[in-house]
This record gives sequence, C-alpha cells and structure tokens, in this order.
Amino acid sequence: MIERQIEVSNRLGLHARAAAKLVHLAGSFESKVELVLAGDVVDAKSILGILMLGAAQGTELTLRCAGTDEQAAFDAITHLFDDRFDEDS
Amino acid sequence: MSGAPQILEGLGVSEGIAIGRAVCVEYHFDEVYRFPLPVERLDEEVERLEGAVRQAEQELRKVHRGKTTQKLRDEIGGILEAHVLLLKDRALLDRIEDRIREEHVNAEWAVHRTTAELAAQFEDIEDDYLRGRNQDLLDVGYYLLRALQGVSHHDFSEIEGDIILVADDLPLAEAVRLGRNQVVGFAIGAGGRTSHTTIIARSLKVPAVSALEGVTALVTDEDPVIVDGELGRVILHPTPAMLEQYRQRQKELKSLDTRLLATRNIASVTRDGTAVILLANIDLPEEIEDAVAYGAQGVGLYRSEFLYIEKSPDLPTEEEHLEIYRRLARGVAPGPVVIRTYDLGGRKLARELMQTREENPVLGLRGIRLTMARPEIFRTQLRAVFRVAVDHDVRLMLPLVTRVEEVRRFRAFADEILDELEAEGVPVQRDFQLGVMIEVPAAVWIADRLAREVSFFSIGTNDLIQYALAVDRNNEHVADLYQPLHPAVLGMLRFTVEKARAAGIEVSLCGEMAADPRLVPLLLGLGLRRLSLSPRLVPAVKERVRSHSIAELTDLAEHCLKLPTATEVVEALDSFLATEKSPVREGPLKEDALSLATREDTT
Repeated sequence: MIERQIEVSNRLGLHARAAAKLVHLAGSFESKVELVLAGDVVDAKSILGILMLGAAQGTELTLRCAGTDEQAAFDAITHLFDDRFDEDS
Repeated sequence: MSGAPQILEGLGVSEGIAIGRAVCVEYHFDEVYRFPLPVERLDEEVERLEGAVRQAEQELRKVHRGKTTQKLRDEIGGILEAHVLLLKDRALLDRIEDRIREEHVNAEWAVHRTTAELAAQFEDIEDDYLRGRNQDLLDVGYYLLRALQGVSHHDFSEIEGDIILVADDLPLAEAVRLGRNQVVGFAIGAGGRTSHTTIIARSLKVPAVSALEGVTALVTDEDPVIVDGELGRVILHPTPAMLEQYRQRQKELKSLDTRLLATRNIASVTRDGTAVILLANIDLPEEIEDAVAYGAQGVGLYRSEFLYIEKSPDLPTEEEHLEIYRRLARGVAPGPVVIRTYDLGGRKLARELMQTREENPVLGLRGIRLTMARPEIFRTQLRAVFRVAVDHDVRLMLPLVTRVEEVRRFRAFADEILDELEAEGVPVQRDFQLGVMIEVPAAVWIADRLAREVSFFSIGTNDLIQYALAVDRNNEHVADLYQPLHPAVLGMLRFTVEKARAAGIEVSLCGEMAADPRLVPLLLGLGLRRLSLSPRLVPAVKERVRSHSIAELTDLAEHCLKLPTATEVVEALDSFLATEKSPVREGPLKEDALSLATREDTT
C-alpha cells in the first residue's frame, strides 16, 4: 500500500468536472484508491464521495492506493493533481 | 391534435414571426408521494429504479451529443459527464435501493429523500463553490424522478424542427439556454414588456409574446403555433391560409432586415447635419457582433448583472469580468463601452446575496444601494473595470442614484481600490469616466448638482417612468398606465437634458423609448443626441434620424411639451409622422406601436 499527502491545487477544488476526471482515472486501475480527509475515507472511484469531501483549493488530502498496480495508480493520480486537472492555464 | 384556429392577444415583446410546434414546459416540480409497497413488490421497484437510471443516462448522453455549438458543448460537457458518473455511482444507488427495501417505499420517494438528505450534508462544506455542488446531486435526482415518472427532460435536442416554447414563466437561465438552441419562439403567460425574459428573447432575436395569461392550459404539446411578435399575438391551430400569410411576412421581414443591415456604414446625421450617436444596449457578450453589424457606434449600456445571473449561483471572478469587458471594448473600438455596475434590484439572486426579504424590493435595496452594501462583490467588478480602462474606452455608470452622497461615497471606494491595485503593481486608469443613471425623479430634480460630480448622464426611461407614474410595468393590471409619453415624463427628459447641457456633460437615453423609431423625432426635438438601444433597432432608428431636421423636431417637441395628456402627444406625433414621405418600414407596422400611450383611451 502506498500512502502520501497530496494537495488540491486547482482553483475550483474538487468540483464536478475535476471529480469526474479523478473517478475515470482511478477506475482505470485494479487497485483500491482512497482519499482521506479529516478522518473521512472515500472511494476515489465514487464521485459522490469525492464531491462530499468538499475539498477546496489548498486542501491537503491523503491519497492511499493498494493493489497490484498501486504504484502506477499512485503516480497517475498524483500527476493529475499536480497538473491541476488541466484546468488552470 | 388539431382544432379551430384560436388567437391569443398578448404583448409583443420581441419582434419577428416564428412558426413551429408547441412544447409546454412547467418549472414547478411535481410533488413526490410516498407509497408503501408490499414486500413482494420491492424487487420490481428496484428494477424500476435501475431502468430509470439507464433511461436518464441515455437522455444525458443525448443532451451531450445534441445539436449545440462547440462552445456550449465545451462548457457543459464535463459537467454532464460528472452527472452520468453520479447517476451510476453505486454509493448513491445503493443508498436509494436500501431505502426502498428497508422502508418498503416507492422508488420516487426513495430518490427524493436520499438525494435531499445527501444534498443537505453539503451544507457543512466551507468553500462556497463546492458547497453549491450539491446542485449536481439534486440535478441527478431530478433526472431520475423525471425518468421514473415518464416525463422527458426539458432538453429539446432530440426534437426535430422548430419549437415554440410555451410556459407560464421562464427562469432566466432557462430562457438563455433554450433560446440558444432549437427554440424559435416564446409564448409566455406572465410578464410585461420589459421583463428579463423578453430582454433575453430580443437579444437572441427570438420572437416572443408575453402576458398570455393561462396559456399553458390552452396549448397541448405538438400543437402548431404562430408567434407574432409584431402584433403581440399567438395563433393556435392556424389555418393553411394563415400559415401561408405568415410565411410570406417572415420573408418580407428578412429582406427588410437585409436592407437595413446595408445602412451600417451610412452616417447617423439629421438632414441639417447634426450627428446623432447611436449606441447599443447589450446583455450578453455575443450581442457585440450584432452591435457592430447593425452599425452601433459603441455600447451605451452593458447590463453587467447578466454576467452574475449567468454565473449564478457562483460569482463571476475578476478575470471573467475582465474578459467580457475586453471583448466588448475590442468589438466596438474606438467607440466607448458603458458598463452599468450590477443592478439586481428585487431579484431572487439579489435576495440570496443579501439574505434579506424585502416587502417592496423596487423601493428597496437595488442599484447603487445594493452594490455599495456588498463592497466585496462590487470590488471584484471595479478592479476589472479599472484594469481594462488602461487601454480601452470603458466607462462606469452607477444605477439608481438618488443622492449626491452616493456618487461621493462611490468615488472614495473607487480610490481605495485604485490604491490597492497600484500597491499590487497593476496598471490602472485613475482618471476613469464615471456617469450616473437618471432613472428616479429625485435624480432629475438634482441633475444640476449631480452633473458637477460626474462626466455623463444616461436616462433610464423604463425605471424613470415606473417611479414617476407609480406604475409597475410588469403588473398587467396597471400596465395601461405605463405611459412613456406622459407629460411628466417628457418634462423630466427636457429638464435633464437642459441641466446636462448647462454643465457641459454628455447625456444619453438608454430606455425602451430610444428603441421605438416613431419616438425618435420627439427625443431629438427634446435635445437628445445620444441614444442607446437594442442593436437590431439601430438601422431603423438611424433611418428616422436621417429623415428629419433638428429645426422641425424642436418645434414638434415644444408643441408636445405643452400638451396636457399622453393621448394628445400621441396624436401630435401621429400627425407629424403622417406627413412623412418615406415611412421607415412598410407593411403592417405594429398596429399598436404606441399602444402603451394610446391605451389611455380605454380607461
């Protein structure tokens, strides 16, 4: 299992469009992918959970990946966050 | 279904003729009932839910693929995608299914309660924008309920052909969305001549008739309908002869439009060589192309509240303001762009922003009062204006000013923002042009004193008439009393023009009055030289300007100013226009072009 802190750096935070991208990406891996914020653990393959986190710009989340392709999943998702979901130019 | 032709009389609020099929829309969501179910029916109910999910998903995909512009698709594509994901999210569906099975209830109830409960949990989210995302969840609940109840979603992309939208009332955002798509005409139950829906219809060049009380009860989906925005009529089940006649008229209007468009580069001057500047009133940024095409020399009124309404429930960012102001300014350069600071008087959005409920919003917190009451929202807009003004001719205009102190307080606030921007190292235009709307009798009366504080006036006749005559222009019961040619109104126009001239500042008129070609002679006679109006009407007004000389118009105005009633003013104008050699438009001119004034006869 890989677990590390990541920051929500896009301006709008984890809103619908960004959450949709995350769900699609997470869903492409075998591994279980979870986000943790203040004790709440949500499945990154469920958009409802992600939206309900209400993670605004600047929020620190824990990304947790566990499974056969956990490294690939972790890298890809970290990359998506770092790229601000391709939103802010 | 078919039937005998039926003519409904309303108010023609957006010109042109539309022929199409009716689609009735109601925006009040049907109540959801709770039905207890026997245990043996629960599996079936869960299957119904799953079926609704599939159907709702199909509808969403259809909307996504539907005939829209690329731009619109880019804007909404990601959100629709998120809605599809939500719709299929097991975390959501399992909760709904559990509720069906545990509470032994129908799927509608389970969807309604579950989405409402989950949406309520968003209330704890700190970030305003993300908290508002529970709307996505509520939308998904709405799609599911619609699918369960067998009602199709209000998106017409799957309907072929031309649609006449029939509704009691139309939420603004819906009007924008629908008007941009397949809807070719609006038949609206509520509303008067100057409601926001009609402004949208006009902006998008969609013919519209409003004040058709109870129209949704008279019309069935798929009924053939003609919307005649010229005569303010809606015809249900037209005969083939009527259809033919209207198709003919549609063609005539089109050729007239082409002819008027050709006048774009002709100067707007009177016969005796006085220049009259014609500017455009703009609500939506895409109208700027029209403004240019029809020969407007600038934007005389950008109603910036539309930016807020379009972005609602979010607030537009400084960059969004900036982008739109730049687009407008570049479009009409070297002409000016007058940005009216947001005026959300009495609107729902304003009430939400302020979290107040006013007994009488028209006399309440609106215009400059509202903007100054929420400086943090105003600040964003002003920062953008001061930045754009560095290299574009954009000017600021304050709505609903009644006191000199309001202008002074605004200036102090503006200075603060300018200092702030300079401290950040952002280039700004310190010496910006500031004007006020003259739209309350109090402002007319202190026009000389206001003129010392600002560099221009713009007379907003819609509100001025409403406040001066104590008539709510949207109230059908007193709409007859809304008389643009009331002697009091004419007197106030003259008074304001004189005070502006004496102070050496510009004065323009940006209300509906400027848009009626038949009133133009009177307005010029009263001394106005700048008019701001809907882009499409610029050519007709220009033709009118070019066919008179100021000398004769001054006499006309002097005569009208002495008349005791609006009816007599109408008569005087009619007889003046009857001497015209080349009428501005041929064909059946709106019989009631001056109806608001002439209706006095009936009271």
